[in-house]
Amino acid sequence: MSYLIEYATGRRKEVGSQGLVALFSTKIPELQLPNPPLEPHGYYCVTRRNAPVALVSVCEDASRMLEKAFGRVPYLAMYVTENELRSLGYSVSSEGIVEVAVARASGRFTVSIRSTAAVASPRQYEALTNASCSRISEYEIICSVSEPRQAARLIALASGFILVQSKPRMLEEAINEGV
Amino acid sequence: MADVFVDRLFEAEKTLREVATSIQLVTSPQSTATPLDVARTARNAVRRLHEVTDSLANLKDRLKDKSIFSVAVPAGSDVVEVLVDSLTLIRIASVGILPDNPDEDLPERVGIAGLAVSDFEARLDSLVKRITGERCIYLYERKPSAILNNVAACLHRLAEYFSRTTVTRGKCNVVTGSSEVAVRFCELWDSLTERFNALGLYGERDYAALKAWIYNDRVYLRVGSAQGHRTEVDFTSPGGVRYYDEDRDVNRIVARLLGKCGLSCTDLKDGVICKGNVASSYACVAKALAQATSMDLRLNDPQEFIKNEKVADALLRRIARSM
Repeated sequence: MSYLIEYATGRRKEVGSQGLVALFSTKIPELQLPNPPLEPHGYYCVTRRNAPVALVSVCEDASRMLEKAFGRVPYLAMYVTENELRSLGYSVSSEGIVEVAVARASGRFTVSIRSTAAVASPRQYEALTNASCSRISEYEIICSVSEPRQAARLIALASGFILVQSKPRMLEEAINEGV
Repeated sequence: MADVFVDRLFEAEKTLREVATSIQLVTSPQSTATPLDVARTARNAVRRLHEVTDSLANLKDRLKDKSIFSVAVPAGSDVVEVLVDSLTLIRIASVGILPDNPDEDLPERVGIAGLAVSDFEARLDSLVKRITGERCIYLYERKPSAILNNVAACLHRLAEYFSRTTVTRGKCNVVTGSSEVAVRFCELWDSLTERFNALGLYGERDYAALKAWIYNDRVYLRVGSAQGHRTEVDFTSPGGVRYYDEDRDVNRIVARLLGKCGLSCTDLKDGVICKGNVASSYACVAKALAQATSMDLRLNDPQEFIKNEKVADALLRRIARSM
């Protein structure tokens, strides 16, 4: 994943959203699969053909939520492999990066949120979803949820914190409505 | 800032009185001054009057240029007019100070629009009365020293008025007799700016520049550190808000926020103009204007401003609502 971050941020000005999707299919060696390697699901999501349905559903939902909140911006992409969903978002200035990884085990989704910039607290995520969250380190929070939609919501919220730089008036609206 | 304005007026008054006294002393019948002393006093008087005119002209320009003084000194155009007439009279007096007889009566009419010196003095007197409620000139004379003393008296009246009639409440300077709703609005704006600052939403320089002046039904706010970053809120009927800023992104958002307060707003090149009843939505307007401060900084790098938990909370709720 670090390679991907390095590549994506370094090429930010050249890659649009489609470029990022292409990036996933061509620049990550383990993702290069034949015929066709990846399938698009919504604007932000690409999946491998044999990806688990539950994770694809999370990816599609998160893509829809993010598109609704931020429109189509070239700062985020998600992909689903056989066993996990990974999301990478970065701020317009490239200074902030958020990675979210979702894995499914025993009927529950484990959502790991890592960010280089401001991270919301476990309490804040819990207040807006029905997740149970705890902080692992200064930059990492792990949450557990049972419904795919709540996992998608966690991805969108965590990514939104970084994507707000592409839609800064959202912060002004938030201040006006809620501070 | 009002202090700066008042101090400048008092300083000008002091110099004018000193100059007037110096030329009266050398020209009085009891004077033992030699012609050389008289000429030296006259030259010195003219030099000092130039300094006063420079200072007052600068004050006048800053008032007209929407600078910080315009926030500190409402009654704007009337005060500018007082300064214009004062400058005219000082210049007339200055030209009349001759090396050999510095306090000779000036001609009945001067070259400016054929007006008499007394016409300028009468207008100055009337303007000062309009602002302060009190006259400042009782004897119209044509001697330079008398003219300078008259102007000094008027500047004193004005300075005294602005220092005497102002009560400070937080960042709000309230001129006595201002409308209650304007005062309530300003007090709310003051507390909101304190809150926003505590939440880390402001740049330091912007916060330090915040100031408001309430004069009758109008509130004049300085909402940031940039030159000309001021706002006028008009509580008269129909009323409105005029916000000055050259940042188009900020203007668009400020127009939208003020529009949410029930005002009809237009986003202009140099700010925002809104019409409507501010009194009925003063709390909403106060919040929108408190938010205008440092908005350019937040738009440029929102990440820097969401470190506070309450702000982060609000942002997350906003994102959640939009999903």
